Amino acid sequence: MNIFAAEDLAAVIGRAIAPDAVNAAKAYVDTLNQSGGMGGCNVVLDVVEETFGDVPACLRAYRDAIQSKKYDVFFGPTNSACMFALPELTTAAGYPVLSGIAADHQPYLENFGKGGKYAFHPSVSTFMEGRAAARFAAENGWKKVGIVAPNYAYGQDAAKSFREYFLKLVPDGEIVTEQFPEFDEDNFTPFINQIAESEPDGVFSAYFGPFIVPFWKQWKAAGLEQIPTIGGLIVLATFEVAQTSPGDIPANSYGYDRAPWQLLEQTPVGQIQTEAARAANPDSAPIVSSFAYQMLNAISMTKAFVEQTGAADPEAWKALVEQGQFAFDGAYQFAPTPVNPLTHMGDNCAAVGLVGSDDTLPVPVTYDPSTFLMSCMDDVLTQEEAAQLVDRDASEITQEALDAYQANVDAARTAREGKWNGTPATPPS
Amino acid sequence: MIVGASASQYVVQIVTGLGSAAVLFLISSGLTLTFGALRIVNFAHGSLYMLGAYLAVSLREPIGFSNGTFWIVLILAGLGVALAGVVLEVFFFRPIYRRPLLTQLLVTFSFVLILAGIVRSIWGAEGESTSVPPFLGGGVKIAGGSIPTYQFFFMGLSVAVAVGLYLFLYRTGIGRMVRAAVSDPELLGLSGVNVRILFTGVFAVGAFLAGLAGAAVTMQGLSGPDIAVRAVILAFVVIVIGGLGSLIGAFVASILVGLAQDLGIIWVPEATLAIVFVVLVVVLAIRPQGLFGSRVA
Repeated sequence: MNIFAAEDLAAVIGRAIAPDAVNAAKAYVDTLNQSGGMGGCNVVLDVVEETFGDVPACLRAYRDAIQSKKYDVFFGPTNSACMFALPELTTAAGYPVLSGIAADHQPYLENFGKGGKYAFHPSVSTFMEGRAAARFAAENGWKKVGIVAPNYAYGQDAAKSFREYFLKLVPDGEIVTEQFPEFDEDNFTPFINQIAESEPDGVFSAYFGPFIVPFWKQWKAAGLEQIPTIGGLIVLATFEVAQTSPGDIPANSYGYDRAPWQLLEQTPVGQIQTEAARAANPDSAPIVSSFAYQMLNAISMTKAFVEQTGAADPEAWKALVEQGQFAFDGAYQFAPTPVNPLTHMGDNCAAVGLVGSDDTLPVPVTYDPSTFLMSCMDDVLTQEEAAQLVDRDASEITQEALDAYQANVDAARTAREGKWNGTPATPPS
Repeated sequence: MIVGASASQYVVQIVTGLGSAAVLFLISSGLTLTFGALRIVNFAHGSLYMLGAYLAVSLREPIGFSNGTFWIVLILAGLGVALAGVVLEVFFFRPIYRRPLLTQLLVTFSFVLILAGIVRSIWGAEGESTSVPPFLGGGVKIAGGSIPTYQFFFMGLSVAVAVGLYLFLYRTGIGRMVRAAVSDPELLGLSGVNVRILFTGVFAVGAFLAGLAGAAVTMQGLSGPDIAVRAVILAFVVIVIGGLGSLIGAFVASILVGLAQDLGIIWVPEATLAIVFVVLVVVLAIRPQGLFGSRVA
């Protein structure tokens, strides 16, 4: 079983994103091979440089891999724009593609017809993060919200997901300002001025990881700490700047995260994946990159596909998913993770938590686990809405399949009841 | 209400725009100086700015970033970049002064990639920042808004650099030679001046200013080594609007671009960068040589 992926190995957007995730994935594959591989097949995971930001180069890497006829399965890249274009390429060539680090579900859903057939989503997406943040904002009584997001695919998708879901949850709510600085903007003050002028109850900022630091510094300097902000993916092991100046983080800073290790280490599969990731990246332990879980979940889903169909045949995988019964051992649930037959998306979860400091960690900036609000796909996306969003004929999926999927979802919901929020396995020190 | 915003909002954005303009001037003054004297289109100038920022991050550790040591970090980062500039000028740029524009673009752009690679291998790809020295902490309340104090420091620093460069160019013998080199380097060489050393000196001053700007902006945080490209593009916009080689032009154009950028956030938040290029196109349509440029380069 040969798997191919192109990732940001050069760490253009941070060591904790692609390099840590790839290290963890390779270690996980080794562990898997020691216990029989996938359906008796040895697994080989080849990862090449994607040249982050150069989408044509990223797609070229996948095209070359497809033409080599060496690979059975493809995992998505780090760049969201490359991931968006990839399913069309792999599906046309008759190969399955599983999202990995990058996953923007909404544009994928809206373009399901372009290659969605053989695309499967074991990872959490920008779409989920935006929705989890919107749910948090709604539950905290925000009415007037400001948005600041980097002006590229990820930022726009996160903002869109937040905006649409927030206004659905809070019909009398208002997006009072939306700012889209360039991706590499360092001077946020003029944008912050505009946000301050609109007097929001809170701000959704789709800046993530190290990119949020200039925003935080300038937000604090502008004396706006009383206004809560939700930023993205705060806990990245490369967040070295936080080690030197944690005082730059304003009070009332929250973060959304697609896989906070404090929560994922509590699920049965998450525990195994957490240990594998920590062993592969000992310098970061106990912190585990949120993106490691994305690649590990992709491996888990592939394993389930191979073992349940006995092949790496995308048509068989599609048929299995669309029968509604398919579930895999994922990190996000305490029961097998259901996969939606209509959208091919795993029922995964994203969290929002208050950013705090813990000097015992290699990177002292972390979340206060007692504040987490975890939202799973089945919390924030109804089947009716999924049917509206996805660009395919919903009648292709039978009622029996939908019922079978719902039964899996109900089992997952029952299994996770009372498990996460407020009950961290690793209490804050 | 004035075109989509209150008067106080305009005041806050104008003051912030002057802060942005100040950083732009610090970068573009060195670029216009080197272009004026050496006639080289140096795309690596933004990388020197980026290098200054990363040097400041490293120097902060041993030296500190208190009210006093902060100045030492700024100066040392600037000097470090000036030294790097000398190496670039002597070994790589000097041979291409008389080469076609395309060759200059290729060589200098190569250094954008090379320096980004070096920075990534030394400091990593992540953003970095320094803390703010105590005297520049907090914000200044203006028209209901709060502008970070360091923005006013940027303004002061850029005015000081502008005055210093003006005095250097117009009140010193070396400055006169630099201006003569801008007008006719060959004639200057015939009059016995060592133009090579003069050019190296000018390049070092330009690099120092870029490094100084980079070191200063670490206070507000950096998104990563990619800042080099954005910085050099904006710096070129400034010196083209101002008139290639014109220091006064760079000063005025920096203000124009800084204000256009920040006021653009009020008018078209989705496309603030486009506003800057609209200004460029309009200025060039009216005065192809730039605001303070001469018709014959």
